[in-house]
Amino acid sequence: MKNDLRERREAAGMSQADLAAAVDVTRQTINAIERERYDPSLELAFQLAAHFECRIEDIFTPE
Amino acid sequence: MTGNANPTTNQPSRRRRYRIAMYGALAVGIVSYIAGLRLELPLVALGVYWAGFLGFVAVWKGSSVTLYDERHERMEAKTATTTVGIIAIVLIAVAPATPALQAAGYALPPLAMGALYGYAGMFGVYGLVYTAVVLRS
Repeated sequence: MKNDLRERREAAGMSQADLAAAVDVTRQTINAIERERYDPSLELAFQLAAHFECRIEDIFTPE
Repeated sequence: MTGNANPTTNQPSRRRRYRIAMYGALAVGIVSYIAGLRLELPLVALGVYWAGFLGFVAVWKGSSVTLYDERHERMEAKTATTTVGIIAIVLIAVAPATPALQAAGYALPPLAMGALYGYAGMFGVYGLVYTAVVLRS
């Protein structure tokens, strides 16, 4: 899935490690999502959306 | 923009520390086991090995920190599936050929036969676990 997680994270002034800690995953997982090499579970997608106070479909777009 | 203005930034380092403790306990157990065997103290070696393994399990299960996340679990599942697939191919290709090889005068070495029986046993366990998972889901 395409996503704009990197843009949102950088706009929030967060490192990958900060975001990983905020949603309780590893930094490598955030990196893999940003590089579109890993599609998160629905649960993690909800956590990311809640963190950025938006909807899942605002971050993720099916290809 | 951010919902969590104060992320728990100490979490990654805690995760790393727990992982080091977990694998450290296992490494100490294995190294001590080898050392104990070399010193001809097999019971002590086994005791320290088990202690190391129990330390590994204690940190793994007792930690309040998520040591592995969903991506690790998905990678492990993919690894397990691929491994089972490779072993299945070996078993399917080689096992039925053993009687024909023996009839032709070739005998597989005991190590290879042991591996084939081990693979077959593994698939028995796989089938039982799969059945249990299906029944519980």
